[in-house]
Amino acid sequence: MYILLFLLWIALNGRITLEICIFGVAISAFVYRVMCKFLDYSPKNDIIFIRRFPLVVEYIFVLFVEIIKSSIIALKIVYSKKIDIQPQVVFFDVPLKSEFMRTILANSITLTPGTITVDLDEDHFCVHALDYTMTEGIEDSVFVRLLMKMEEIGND
Amino acid sequence: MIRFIICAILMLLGVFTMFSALVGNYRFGYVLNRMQVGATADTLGAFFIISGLIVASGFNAITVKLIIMVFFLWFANPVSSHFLARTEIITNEKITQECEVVRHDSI
Amino acid sequence: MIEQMYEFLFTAVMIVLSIIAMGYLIRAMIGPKFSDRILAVNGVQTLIIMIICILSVFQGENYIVDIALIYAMLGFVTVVIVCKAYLRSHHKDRTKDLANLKEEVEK
Repeated sequence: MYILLFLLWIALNGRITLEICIFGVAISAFVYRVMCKFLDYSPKNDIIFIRRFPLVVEYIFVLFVEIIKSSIIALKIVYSKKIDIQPQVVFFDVPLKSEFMRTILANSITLTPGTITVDLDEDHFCVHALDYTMTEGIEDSVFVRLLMKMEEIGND
Repeated sequence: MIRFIICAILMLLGVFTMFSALVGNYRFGYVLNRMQVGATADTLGAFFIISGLIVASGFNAITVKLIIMVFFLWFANPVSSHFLARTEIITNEKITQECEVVRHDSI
Repeated sequence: MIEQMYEFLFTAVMIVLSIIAMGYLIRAMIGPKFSDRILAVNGVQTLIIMIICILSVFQGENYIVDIALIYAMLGFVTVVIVCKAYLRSHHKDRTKDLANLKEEVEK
């Protein structure tokens, strides 16, 4: 995480000189300290992230494929001659434990065209969908399975 | 030359996606359905256009900043459309006439 | 030769994007509800960000992307704050509506 902050600083400056590097080391150390103190972040999270890394790459790939697939469906609906859809609001539960994972799941549900997360409290999700076919099997989709696997790795 | 062709294809795809978001905005009748096509197709169109720009500019400082830009858009756009949908559902009194409300059983 | 082609492509894409932004503006004017207008403003914001990014690659200056990044953050905060303020001021007594809807379904 420290390295990521440092790289962000370099990228935002746009060029590499000695002066900028020294400032970058100091500022990212300060930001890392603030994160540890106020945002419940600890070096343990770094290790967990490294162990989950293959799954993270797989997740991003799956997310991208899903976005392309469902946006093709949505574009077909837009350009069809007569629009014939049945919008739906679905309530369901997902057995994910940590807040972070739930947020990631809600974000990726919203990112796929055709479904929007409306509300999220505890583990109850509320999702609006463009058509009723899009909500079939939403409570055990690929995202949920991958996130569950990630949680198992982090817990032991 | 090949780089130019790839860049042109990606950017035209992006413009097409943006345009169909606008068409969807005019064709659907209800706000939530408009939001589905509008806000999310915007995200994909932004991704296509920015990747076209990355191909065009090669590797330098602009590329890195554009990648940061894509990440920021993909994190921020779902949150704002979530807020919009929440506002709409809470303030609309006749939500059950526009779309049916169901509950899926938990696993 | 290839420079001129890039110039032509970027100019054409920028013109098309601004025409799409005009379409969103008309949508914002005729939109019957509050969330319709906010959705249109969100779309215009994404288009403006794209135009600024294209401009930065077009001119080869990397500080213009920073402006786009700040514009994106500002637009995101705008949508969230406007939605929250609207919920607070106009519908103070209706924030429990989602829970009511859920109970209705479970019966």
